[in-house]
Amino acid sequence: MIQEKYFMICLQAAISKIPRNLLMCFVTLGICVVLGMLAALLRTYRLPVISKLLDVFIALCKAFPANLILLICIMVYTYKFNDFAAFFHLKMSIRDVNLIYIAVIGLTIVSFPGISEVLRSGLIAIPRGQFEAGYAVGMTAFQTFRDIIFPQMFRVVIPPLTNSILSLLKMTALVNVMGVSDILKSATDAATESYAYLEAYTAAALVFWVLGIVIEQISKMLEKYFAKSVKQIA
Amino acid sequence: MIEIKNIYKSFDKLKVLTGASIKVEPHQVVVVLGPSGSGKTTMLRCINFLERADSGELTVGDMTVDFAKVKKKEIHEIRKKVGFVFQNYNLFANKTALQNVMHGLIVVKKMSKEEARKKAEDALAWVRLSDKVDYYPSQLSGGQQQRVGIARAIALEPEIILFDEPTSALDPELIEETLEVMKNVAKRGITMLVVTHELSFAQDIADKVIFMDGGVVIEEGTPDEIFNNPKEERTKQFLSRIIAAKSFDAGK
Ligand SMILES: Nc1ncnc2c1ncn2[C@@H]1O[C@H](COP(=O)(O)OP(=O)(O)O)[C@@H](O)[C@H]1O
Ligand SMILES: [Mg+2]
Repeated sequence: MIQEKYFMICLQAAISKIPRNLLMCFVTLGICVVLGMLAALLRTYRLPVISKLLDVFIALCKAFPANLILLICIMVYTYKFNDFAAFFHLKMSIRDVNLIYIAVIGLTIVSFPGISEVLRSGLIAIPRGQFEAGYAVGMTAFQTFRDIIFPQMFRVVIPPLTNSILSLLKMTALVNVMGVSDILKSATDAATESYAYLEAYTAAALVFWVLGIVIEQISKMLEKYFAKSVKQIA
Repeated sequence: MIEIKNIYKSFDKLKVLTGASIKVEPHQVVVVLGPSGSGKTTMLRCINFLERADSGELTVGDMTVDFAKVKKKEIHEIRKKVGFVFQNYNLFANKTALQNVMHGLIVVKKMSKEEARKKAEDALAWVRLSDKVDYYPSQLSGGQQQRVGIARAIALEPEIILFDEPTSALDPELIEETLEVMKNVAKRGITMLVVTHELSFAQDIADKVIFMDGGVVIEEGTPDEIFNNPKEERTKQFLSRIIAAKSFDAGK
């Protein structure tokens, strides 16, 4: 049923976009971890007004389907960009490369609540005594966080964060609703002439499967590396 | 030298410290006794600002601050002058014994790595843990963890070390090794403020014993005065209860 020739063409097309999907995935992840960490700290330390606002924002982010958020982002971008271009008399058109940034913004909005929640659960898993020991030694709050709390948190959040990364990776296949070409879109594009869609989908699935396995393995290695300080529970 | 004057601290409506005052001279060992819930832990925690007292005055070395209007920078300075040994050790879980002792030396005291390592190894040798330097806290017994905690505190050479019931979380057979180390700390002339129920330690080592109850100092004096001639009824009651509990333990 699957024709090898078409399959290989689609697979090649899919593989060529691996860097793009990974880029979107990991740039989004980086932004989400930084913002999510800040949000987790704010919510844990209960800065009254800001943490309330964050709660509302996170609830909103959680409520919408991912592709809807991506569509809203591209709409807002399209209108704003035209205004912006007109305002500055720019002769610019909306290019694919720009759209990747918009995709990253959309993906960030979609993934932020989950990742922030994962980081918060990691933060509250660290006993108070670890903070206090840092302060008692004379370290500042920042030094204590950097050297004591964060490394311990990191160990705790590796498994749930891996899940977030995997769903984020899968979500990068949704960006074609914005007109961004990715692994899936590129594979199906390669199949339009031959109508070899089954080959295209299989090729895309294979690529995502392999990427998923690689990420999972890296996560396992990290977990093992960081588990060395808890080898034996006294 | 460390002095607390008229310290007040409430948790919501619960008044925990109600005007306690305490003074520890340089090289002195002062033991604080008192029933559970009398505010001993809270007082120690207020001294290095793990808890914020509502009012009162604190002097550590050449620094005097008002608890009610102390600045962030002053808190940081005082914490550098005060060491703390916790009831449940609180070693950094992500660091080995050696790293636990070294880290403050590097980050707070700005020592070079080699210098810090040397000093940390000395401190660990001194608490007789040279064979455990590369162990993580989770691989050490409670008594060993507490000795690392003590090494971490002394390596930083603070003006005073506060001990909050350092042996009360330990199994009986591990208490002695920890007390032994604390006696050595005292012999080194390090100023100590120790909350403990180990009367023998107080008897042998303390220059002064303070009995606290209900958030204030009820009575203070030499070990001999407090143990053999307590003036206050509450002190007598407390001591007789502790001694009864101890002999009950011993008889088991
Ligand atoms: N963080 C806190 N929040 C509320 N109450 C507290 C807190 N810490 C201590 N307390 C209360 O303060 C009182 C004194 O506690 P503590 O200082 O630990 O006494 P001690 O060390 O003498 O046993 C107790 O009643 C305790 O429940
Ligand atoms: Mg206590």
